[in-house]
Amino acid sequence: MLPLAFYAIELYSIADVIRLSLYKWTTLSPPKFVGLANFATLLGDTRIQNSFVNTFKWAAVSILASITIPLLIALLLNERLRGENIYKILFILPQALSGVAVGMILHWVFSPTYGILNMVLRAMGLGMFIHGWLGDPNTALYSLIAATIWAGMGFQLMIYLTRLRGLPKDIFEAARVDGANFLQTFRHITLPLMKPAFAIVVTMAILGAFTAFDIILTMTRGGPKGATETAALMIYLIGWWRFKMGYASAISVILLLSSLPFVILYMRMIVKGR
Amino acid sequence: MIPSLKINKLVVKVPVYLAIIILSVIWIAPILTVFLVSFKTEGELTFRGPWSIPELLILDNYIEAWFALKQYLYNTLIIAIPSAIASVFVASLGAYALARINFKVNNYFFLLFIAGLAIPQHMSLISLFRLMYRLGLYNTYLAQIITHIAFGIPICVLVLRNFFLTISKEIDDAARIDGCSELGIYFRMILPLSKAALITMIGFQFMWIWNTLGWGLVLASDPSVMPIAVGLLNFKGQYFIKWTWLAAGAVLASTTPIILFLLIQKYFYKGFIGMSVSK
Repeated sequence: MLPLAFYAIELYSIADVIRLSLYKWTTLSPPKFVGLANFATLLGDTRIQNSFVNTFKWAAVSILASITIPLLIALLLNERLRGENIYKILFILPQALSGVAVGMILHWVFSPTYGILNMVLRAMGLGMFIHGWLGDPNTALYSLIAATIWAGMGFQLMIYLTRLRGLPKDIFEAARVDGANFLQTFRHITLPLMKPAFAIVVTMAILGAFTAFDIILTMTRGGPKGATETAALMIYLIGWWRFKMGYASAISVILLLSSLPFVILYMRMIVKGR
Repeated sequence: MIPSLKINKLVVKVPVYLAIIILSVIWIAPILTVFLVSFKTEGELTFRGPWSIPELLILDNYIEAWFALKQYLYNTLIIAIPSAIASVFVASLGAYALARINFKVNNYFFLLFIAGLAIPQHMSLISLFRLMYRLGLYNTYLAQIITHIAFGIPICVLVLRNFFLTISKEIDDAARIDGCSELGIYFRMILPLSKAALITMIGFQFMWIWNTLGWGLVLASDPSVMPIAVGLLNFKGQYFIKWTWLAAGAVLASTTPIILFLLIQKYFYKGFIGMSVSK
């Protein structure tokens, strides 16, 4: 029962934010009931809509990255390489860093003058691609997404690797005897058996997009020109910098609603998985 | 014995090693850069760039960062240690019940916890702020500790439940025959057998809590209770940006979780079993 008692806090907070979304509350004055007025304002607020578009872009790119890069590295590491533990530690190390620290560290990748990225491009003779990655609205969002992928990949890698190691060996043996090549084995045996790992990793990627916040606040604060404003960031900016708590609650409710299909999908996968 | 097989193996192994080495260099390069910069003066950074070996081991940046951040580092320890241990312990009770006792409602409880895992936490920023303010806990350690425990529970329940399912029920039965009570089984058999999973989870919880920014921003406005993530952000905002100082600050703020990470990483494999088997 104890876990439920603590968990109740989370449930309460969801209920309360739904209630608050119907109020106009500027922290200075007491909340005033305004019905659905906040949501009506949302309909015409292109800045907020843009932040949701950015959130979905973030989710799409993170999902794609989470089912490719860490899986590839896990497959490489599954070959039982010498010094395997060192590689594992290197890949998972960024996981130990805070979003704020990651933001400061990735400055040295994306900075126009000192950035590793520009240096590598210059060295490869691709000088025309050199620019301020975070200052350009076209690349800022993707640079930040890359930063979170860098930081969070280790965790996903470990989930894949553990799953790979736990797979029954006789199936692979049977496939080898039947003359299946590497790609066939991967496509028809490994991938289907990795499903539970995919479920967790993809959910984490989506959740990461819906809560993308720390890195943005550190590196760009939503700029340039709103190019890196996400839903989670807007809740904070509007609630704490503009003191519009009721309006920010309405954004929270929309964020919850847009995450709901994924929540349900994920829960169905878990139920099916057993 | 068959030479072609050996060559075949070599043909596979060399690209694999090459790929993994290139990837790990890419992965570690940003951290190395920050480490190098943290020992440099502004002038050295300007003239020699970030990647040269520092001429002298200058600790000025660290001294500057230490005085700006030490209070935040202390606060985060006070918040993260009890939160991490409590959330894992509390969750383990729930996870044990879900894994072992066959209530009909168990499935629904499990789904309820899982739902908490998939709901974006930032939607609770406002209501949590309001709740803690009303309880008079705004600007206290306790507000952040309670919040971290509450929001840490879903992931711990999921991982530990899955891990407990891998422990054979026969162990329970044997203990029961020997006259062990349900709680006795839990404390004497299950917890010791789950040491690796518990340590992994406590370690991860600690790292996550150490690194979280959102709750610290909204549940505190007083630097005497703010966590390090907020402190580091303030450190950046405080001055006309001095990247050498910030590099030292980032290293200081990351040292504790990295040391912890290195200490617990040998338990990872077992601990992660709970995450990768979904049942």
